[in-house]
Amino acid sequence: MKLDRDEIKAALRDKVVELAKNLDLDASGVTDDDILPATGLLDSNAILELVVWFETTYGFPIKQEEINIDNLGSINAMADFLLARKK
Amino acid sequence: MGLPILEPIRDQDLPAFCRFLTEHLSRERTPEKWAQAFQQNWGVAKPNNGFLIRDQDRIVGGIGAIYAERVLRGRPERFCNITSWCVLEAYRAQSMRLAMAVASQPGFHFTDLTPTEVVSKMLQFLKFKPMNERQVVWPNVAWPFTGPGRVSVLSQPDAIARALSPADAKVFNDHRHLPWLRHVALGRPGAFCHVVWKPNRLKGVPGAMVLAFSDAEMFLRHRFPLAGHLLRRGNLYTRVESRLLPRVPTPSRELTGFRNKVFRSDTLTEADISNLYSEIVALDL
Repeated sequence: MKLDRDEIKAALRDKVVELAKNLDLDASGVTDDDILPATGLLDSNAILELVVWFETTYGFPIKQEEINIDNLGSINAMADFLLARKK
Repeated sequence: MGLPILEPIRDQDLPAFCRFLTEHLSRERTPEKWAQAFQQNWGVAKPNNGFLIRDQDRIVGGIGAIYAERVLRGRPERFCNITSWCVLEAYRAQSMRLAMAVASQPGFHFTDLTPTEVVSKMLQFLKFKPMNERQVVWPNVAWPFTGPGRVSVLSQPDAIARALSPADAKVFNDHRHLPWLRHVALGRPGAFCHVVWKPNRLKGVPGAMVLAFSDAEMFLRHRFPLAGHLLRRGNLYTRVESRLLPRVPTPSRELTGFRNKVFRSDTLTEADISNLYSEIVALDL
């Protein structure tokens, strides 16, 4: 599968909006640089759900020690992490 | 729903925050008891008592922080202990926001020594590291050797304060007001180790949970006289976290399956993280 950075980010943004909506929150204004845990738009379950969805959708296992804010803290960070792993 | 306001817990906010904790986290602790935990005088100009979130004027969540400064290897180190994290269900998306607010303060080492499993995972996402959770237990047996030249176990507060080095005496004085803690000075004239313990039960058996000691080698070397002292007070075993010991002594048994405490520091290791100056001693956890 050829990965396009903009497509990855768009898919991530859609997923964040969907997860926030489940919490009655509107995440349509989330930016690619927003630190997701600091936005107040996702709770811990939603963040873990986002990580699991990310792993499954793009077919790459994420190690426990890789699940942190540096790799998965924002839409940009997640896209960078995925593209680095898929190189 | 718009985002509720996040703000630091100032001293004047403590009564309301503590009422919130009593109502929503533990009714067993009065607001006054919660407040006492945040009012330690542990050598640091605390920037706040944690952070809270309000919706309209109502507190709907918060995270407490207990600050302290300790000297490690001659250097003052500043700690922020995270505790009493409570967010109403309708506002649970704000919980990570609270954690980020506390853990992004510069100049501190961060600890949570009593995390639930969920909290531990959340904090590991914020780059907290889990510590070795194992504990070592050994039986307390009678220690008959006393007299001149023998190891002393001093338990009277004034005697402890006189026997300890100035640095250890400061630690003792910083904690002696907490009634659930027991202190001893263990050693010989000129070389005493400060030991802090609490009564404990393991499968219903009474024993001593050692929370901290000022010198790990001296603690291990003198563990038999300490065991005799503890036994005379009805404590049948000594229990201590493995991470605090340089090695597992013999005879002893190592137990596993405890919850991992977590910490975040760029320079310290888990052996540097003390149970003193934390929520464990401030809240009797």
